[in-house]
Amino acid sequence: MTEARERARVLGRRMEMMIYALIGALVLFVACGLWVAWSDPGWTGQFILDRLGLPKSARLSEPTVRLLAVAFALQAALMLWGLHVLRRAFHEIALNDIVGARSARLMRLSGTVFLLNAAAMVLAPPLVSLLISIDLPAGQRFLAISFSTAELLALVVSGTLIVFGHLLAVAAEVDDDNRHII
Amino acid sequence: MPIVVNLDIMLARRKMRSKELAAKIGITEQNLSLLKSGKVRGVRFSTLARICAELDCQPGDLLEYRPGPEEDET
Repeated sequence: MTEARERARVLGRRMEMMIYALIGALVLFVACGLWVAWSDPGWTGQFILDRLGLPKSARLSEPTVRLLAVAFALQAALMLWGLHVLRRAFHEIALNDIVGARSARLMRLSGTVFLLNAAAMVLAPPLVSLLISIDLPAGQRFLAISFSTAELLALVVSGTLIVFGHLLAVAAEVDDDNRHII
Repeated sequence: MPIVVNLDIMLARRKMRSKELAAKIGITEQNLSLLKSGKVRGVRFSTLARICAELDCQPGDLLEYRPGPEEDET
């Protein structure tokens, strides 16, 4: 049993390192995106219009590009927060035990944050389309609403994390009970 | 707690120290101390059997039931 718990601790450490790497990559990606948006809003605006398949004749103003960059950064911040809390949960498992009240609480919190992120993913297309429409002529304005498998997957994963956190909390109570049986 | 643990009485009768008994039955001194003070939630039969073997007694010599209110388990 001790060996199994030790293996769980090692796995917790590895997961923590992996999430650190993921956070690093995401921070780098977001930082690059923000830097490009701020330093060359013209190019960034064209890039966004190309990605959305909008007419090349359209132009996005500098404030619009920067607002879009802020919206992008806010959603990335939610994702980073979720990853940070998940990393802390695995850190707790690596430090103490796989079954613990604190790691359970952190797992549940990370699930909640990822759920917020999933909600943000659903709200992003309407927000982005509204921001872009500010600079488009009256006849070309649009409102996008989208719900794809990516959002569904995000909802399922976040829900799973929340439920798993609950299960860990119950397991921690049972473990604590067993420790008090000599 | 209605169940009273009389382990300290048996230890005194057999002139054995807690530390010695804990080492012989394979539990920590801290756990034995918790057992003596009745602050445990339960005792495994295997632990009870080892204590009885070492102290040459019956489980009834160690555990006593005194009717009374149960403490809230938190």
